[in-house]
Amino acid sequence: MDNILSIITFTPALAGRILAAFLRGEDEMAQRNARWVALFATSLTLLMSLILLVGFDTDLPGFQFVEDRAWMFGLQYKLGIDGLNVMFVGLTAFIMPLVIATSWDVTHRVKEYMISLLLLETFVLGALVSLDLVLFFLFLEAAMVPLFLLIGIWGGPGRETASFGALVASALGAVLLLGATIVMFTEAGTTDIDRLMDHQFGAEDVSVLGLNVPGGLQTLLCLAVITGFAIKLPIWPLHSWHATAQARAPVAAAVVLSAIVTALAAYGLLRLALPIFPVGALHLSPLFFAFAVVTALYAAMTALSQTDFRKVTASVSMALVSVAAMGLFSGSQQGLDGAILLLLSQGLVACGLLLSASVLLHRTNTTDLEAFGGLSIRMPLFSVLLILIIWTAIGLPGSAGFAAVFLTLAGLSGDRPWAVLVALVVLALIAGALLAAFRKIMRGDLIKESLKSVEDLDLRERLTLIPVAAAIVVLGLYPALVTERVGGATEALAVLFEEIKETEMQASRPSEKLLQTDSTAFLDQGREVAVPFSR
Amino acid sequence: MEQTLLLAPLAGAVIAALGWRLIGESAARWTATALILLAAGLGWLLALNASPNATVRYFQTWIESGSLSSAFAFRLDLVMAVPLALVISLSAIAHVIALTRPATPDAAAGAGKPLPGQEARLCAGMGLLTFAMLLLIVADDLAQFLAGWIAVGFASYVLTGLFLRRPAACKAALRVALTLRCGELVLISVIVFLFALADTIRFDDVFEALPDLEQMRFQILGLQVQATELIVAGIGLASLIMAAQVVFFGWIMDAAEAPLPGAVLLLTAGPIVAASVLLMRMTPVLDLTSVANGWLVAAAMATTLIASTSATVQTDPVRAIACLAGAQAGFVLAAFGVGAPEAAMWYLVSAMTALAALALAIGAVGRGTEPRDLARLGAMGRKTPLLLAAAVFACASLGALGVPGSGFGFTGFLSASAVFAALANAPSPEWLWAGGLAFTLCSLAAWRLVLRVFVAAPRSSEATAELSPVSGIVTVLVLAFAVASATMGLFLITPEPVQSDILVVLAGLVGLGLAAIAARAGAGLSRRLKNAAPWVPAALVNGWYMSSILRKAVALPLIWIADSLARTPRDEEGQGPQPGMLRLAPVLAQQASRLQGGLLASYGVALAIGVVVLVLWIVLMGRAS
Repeated sequence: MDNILSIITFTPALAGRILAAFLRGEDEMAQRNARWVALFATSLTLLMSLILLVGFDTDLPGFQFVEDRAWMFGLQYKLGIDGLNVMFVGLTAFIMPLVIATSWDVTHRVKEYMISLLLLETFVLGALVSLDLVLFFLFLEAAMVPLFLLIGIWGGPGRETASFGALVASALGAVLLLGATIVMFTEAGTTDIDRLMDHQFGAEDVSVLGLNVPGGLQTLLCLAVITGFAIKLPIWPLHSWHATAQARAPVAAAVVLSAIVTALAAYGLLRLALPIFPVGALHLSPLFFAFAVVTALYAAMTALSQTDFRKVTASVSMALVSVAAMGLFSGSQQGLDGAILLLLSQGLVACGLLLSASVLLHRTNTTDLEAFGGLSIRMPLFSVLLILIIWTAIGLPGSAGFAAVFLTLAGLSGDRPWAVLVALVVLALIAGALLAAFRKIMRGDLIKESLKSVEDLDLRERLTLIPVAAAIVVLGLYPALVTERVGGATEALAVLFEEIKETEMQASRPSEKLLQTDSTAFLDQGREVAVPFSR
Repeated sequence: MEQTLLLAPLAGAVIAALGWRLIGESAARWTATALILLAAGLGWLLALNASPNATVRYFQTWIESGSLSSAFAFRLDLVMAVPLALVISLSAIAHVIALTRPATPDAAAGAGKPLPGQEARLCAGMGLLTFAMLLLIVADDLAQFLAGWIAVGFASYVLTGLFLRRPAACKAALRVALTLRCGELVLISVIVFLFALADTIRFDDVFEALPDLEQMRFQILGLQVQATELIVAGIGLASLIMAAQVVFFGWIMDAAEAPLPGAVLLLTAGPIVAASVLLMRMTPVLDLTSVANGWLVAAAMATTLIASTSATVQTDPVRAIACLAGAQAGFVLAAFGVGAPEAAMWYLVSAMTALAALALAIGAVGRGTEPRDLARLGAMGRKTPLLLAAAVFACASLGALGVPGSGFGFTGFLSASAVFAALANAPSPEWLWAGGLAFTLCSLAAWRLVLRVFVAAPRSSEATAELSPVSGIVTVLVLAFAVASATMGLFLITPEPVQSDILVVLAGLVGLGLAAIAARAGAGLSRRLKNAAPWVPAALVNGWYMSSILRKAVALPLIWIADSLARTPRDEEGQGPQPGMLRLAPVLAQQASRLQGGLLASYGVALAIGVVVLVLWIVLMGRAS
């Protein structure tokens, strides 16, 4: 299967094209056909992604399933996967059929809705597997267009503001990324990500507006890339568009925003900021950590006082992504592995929580926590699935969250023990917010008349929530499914980061070695450092 | 065999939780109980064959990332065989009792019927707790231990909140989950700190690295702190939280909201035992430190006084037993702190089995109806002498009846003597006298329960004292368990006559005497106390307001900050949370958003301007090649 990546990427778009070309009218038959075509296409994409995951050789360094062809204007159409993106492809392909299934009740312009979702999947997958910077940029920014439409047309009250907010935020990020792309091209003479990783961008200190910038061009480019992706993650203070969009978007778009767009943004950092500008990333990591810490604490604190389940979900998701972002910049293999696992786990948790919000919305037309109480008596299966998802966010052993949190914290413990403490406070606050929300929705006596006749999950809801729970448990019991696949790439990144750190320390402060503590010396003795590739 | 032992309780829990609708509630409960009994048999077999040197069986690699590696394993030595046998035995008895006693209605006033599936969920919760405890007891590395530790917290949450309709149980479950969550997070921080220092999370490898760890120093707030002291401080704090010590005492009283068999298992084979296992496992580190150990002893001894005084006035017998469990945990932790781990483990076993026997004997009275009020119980000894005998055996062990200087007595006497001997040899001998006072109060609280339930007449005119329709087999089982618990020390503990024997026996007897006086005085004594100093009984019943202190010191300030962060005009418009103290960001964002008029063209213009500016800047800087 030489073209499997193209097939995976464009299958949803092809289905969207078929819908656009052949489906006419808004009658019930047309709506049903649109739903089934979309579900079939996304399921087919999932099936092929599974084939890709199984066929991924964990022992092979570098990119696999590479497709490299000449494209227009001398640009390359280059796709490929390695440990950094393979699991995110799997996550996107896994979530999209669930998103389609949860949108089964949409009755307004169903064809356009499904086409938007299908195009969104193609653009996200395209961005994930692109190995050319321009291609990556085009897919990444194109993904915001269907998202803009989904929020703007099918969202709740205030959707116009929310959709334009998302678009403007994306535009700000795009400007920075495009600027960085142009500079990278002029510097390296290529937009091939593989070759850019081998190119050494200038790292000598420069002066900008009288300010000395350590790490020079690398730091400036890295800052542009990080800021561009920080908007999409989102990181404070660039987050407000995300909260608004989350609250206004239809559940399907909210799932994509929380689970997939955040993973895509984190992947952008992993793919571009860390391996291409390691010196810049090293210099900026304290700044990035500071913003990630503020975001995580702020989001976790606000989660505590939310009165709406969707807002609790949005805040929790933001806090978990910020903890994962800390792991990404920890520079250690455990931190990187943990961050990727945490992004996957967070994606599943956000998906599960938002699908649960959809279940509540479907029955009561609200997700206000005060509107519920005692639902576990009427909805025992929903209660079990929701508490499993909530405890995954908290890090229950046997769920994906445990290994993710444990590895992330282990990765942070070496250089930034204070970040571990912050992350632990965040996890405690998240636990408080989610368990309190669960108590308000599920526990206590069933007093409200409107809730006394609600039914437990129907077949479609079971088919959307049970796979999420199953994925959570599978990843929790066997996290090696992820760590084996990402291990080679993260090890290489960790080694690169360690080398750069050593070089920078020696170059800038040669006397610092004398101040090295006993503990650091012990660490150096204990760790075996392998060098899978050199620069 | 090891895999079956580990997985049987989990399988039982899953069948009970998810399968009761398919196979029926009764079948699910029987299956879960049968699986626990199978695990108990295997557990005893392995415990009896355990050797001083650990044997390890690896099942499956679990988490692997760089130098961090964890595997599902079964590691057993003679020391860990003790908590293994304790947990599996208590779990088996709790399951059998749950199977035979009538279900408690799920309503605040005790009226109505149990919810469908309630008893199956009880079995599931108990099975999950058993699995979690086994997972941590047989762990070969800290990741598996942590997994068991967190799962204990989850099972405690499930069991405490089992009565879905009762607001008190729902709130209690949340408090239990959040308090134990703090213990979990402290332990995570210790483990990742250890990993950062030793580059391993396997117990044996960590202990091998101890000589290096001992040499490491850290500068914290201007103080030079040994790495090992930091580790023990973390372990101690995690244990204090899990064992309901000092300000964390409140959760154990909340755990009494669980149905009786679940509460018994939670109190006697749950988080307290987990905390003790952690300290036992980390004994090699504890042996290297002194400062953190001192704090551990101080906190534990303070709790023995807090919990024992609180236990003497409780009107709910299960809450009284919860307080007693907290006090006994204090003695156990103090023994670890003064460097007597063997004495601590024996005390743990004797105290927890005796408490379980006492709780089950009292629990068999009163038909399992609510509210559980001592005033409604009384004079049951004539109706059920076997249960009275079981309770007396349990109290005799808890009250340390024995012959001083001879090494002959009930299990509690032998284990308490060892703990008090260790306290007497500690650098601060005042702990011995504090311990003596707390032990007297524990004895008083335990005997008070027996006398009020089985001997004295009921104090309330609405007495509901009736024998629960338990089978004779269960009564005999409880009695046999109580006798075995009270006398096993004679066969298992090598007696070493020490001077503290006299203090222990005296404290136990004074407690018995005070309980007898209180029982004779009747309600008049408590009325007089209430009139003289009304705040005293209120403070005691509420566990010296430890939960309130924690709530006001930690929870309320956090909620205040959270509210002030989220409360902004934008939030009212549904714009999501905005930072109260960081209002500048949304204001700037609003101003920036006005730059675009809502047209796609403005997006393109913004993009173009940005690109032009950046390209110009790059060219001017001369960076473009």
